[in-house]
Amino acid sequence: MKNKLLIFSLLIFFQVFVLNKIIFFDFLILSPLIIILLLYKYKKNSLENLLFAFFIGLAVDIFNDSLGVYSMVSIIIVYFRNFWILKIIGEEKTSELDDLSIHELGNFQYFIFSYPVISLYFTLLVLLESSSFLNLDVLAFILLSSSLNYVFMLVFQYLFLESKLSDEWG
Amino acid sequence: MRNLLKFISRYNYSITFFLLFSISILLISNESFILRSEYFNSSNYISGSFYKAQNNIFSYFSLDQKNEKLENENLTLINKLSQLESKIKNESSADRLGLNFIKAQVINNSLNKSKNYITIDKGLSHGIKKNLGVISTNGVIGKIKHVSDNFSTIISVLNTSFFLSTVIKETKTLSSLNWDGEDPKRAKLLYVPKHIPLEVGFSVLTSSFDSIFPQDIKVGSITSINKDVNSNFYDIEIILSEDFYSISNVYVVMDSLNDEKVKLEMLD
Repeated sequence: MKNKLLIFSLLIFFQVFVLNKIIFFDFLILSPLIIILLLYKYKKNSLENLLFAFFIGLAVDIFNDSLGVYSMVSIIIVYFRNFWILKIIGEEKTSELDDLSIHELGNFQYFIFSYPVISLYFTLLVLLESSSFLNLDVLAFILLSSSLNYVFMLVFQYLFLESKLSDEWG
Repeated sequence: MRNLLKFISRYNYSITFFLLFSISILLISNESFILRSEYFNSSNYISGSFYKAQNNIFSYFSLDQKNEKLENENLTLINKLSQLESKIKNESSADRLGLNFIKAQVINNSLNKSKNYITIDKGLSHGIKKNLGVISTNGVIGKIKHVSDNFSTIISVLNTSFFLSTVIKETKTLSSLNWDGEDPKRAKLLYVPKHIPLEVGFSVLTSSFDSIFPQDIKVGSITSINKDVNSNFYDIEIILSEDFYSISNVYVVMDSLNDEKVKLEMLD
């Protein structure tokens, strides 16, 4: 539990103080918040899931002077994540999962599960934070940033979740 | 009642979602929402202290650039001082200027949103209040939005809800400046009638009509002028004189005569 909290805190710290300021090549942003939202333990119709998402989004908002944006995006993502995982693997199998990681779901199912959620996350961020409408540049930004964050998330899971931590994400 | 409780317990997940969703909308849409003004921004003690520590670390690595920038600022200030001295000689009293400046360090600055804010390391305990203007040696930065004891957030010129009263130096035409959320180096100049003869390169300065900024602070210069057929006004783009990518030192403008001016203007 302590390790999990430490990693959550480090990811948020990294998001707020480093990555929020950087846009790579004008098209790419890394957002560790989506890792936390995707990997946070799943429970069907869990109020805890929603409240956790709201408050972690609020924490980012406070440091980012974007009050409401990340809290709204976070609750929508968690709501959609909980709905989407049921659609993909069904209720029975979902209840057997310890966490929603690549080790539990496998490569293909994890891609089908996580990529649309990450894309939705960046679409909502673009719409709410930049007030931009969908055009080619915005679509390129969503696609490229989603792909980068997907790769980042895989690397993160292979580095951290296979070791001792893997028991604690459940 | 029983049915209502049954309904709530059955759909509590969706109800909680819509409740949190509504709170988020309220936070986004209502700028004067009470929480926004007190603790829920980067001027609060915790986030302000974090940003200050971060700034201390990062600023150590850019001392060379800062030194060079300060030397340039010094040169500009010396020039301005000599101009002001000659101006004061022509005034009946130096007190009529009534301006004081508080120097502050930028500890956080955002550029990639449509509503950007800047956090500085000075607050109530240094005499800073809401709605004071903030400038640098290069031009206008924004105005104070939230203040805590030791920190303040500034609503930046690069914020789509910020409008600045300006004047075109060469024609003395009043106008209004607003950022369109696109390029952090450029902004739009609004409400300039089409009959005014304009040229690319004309300077845009503050007008002081908004009672926030002193007169004649540089804002930028005109880079493109378009005539929209459907409008009575030009579509003007200016390049901002301040480079928001590299601001570090700013000055909060304290106008001791401003309260008197505002009170007088509010009289019937």
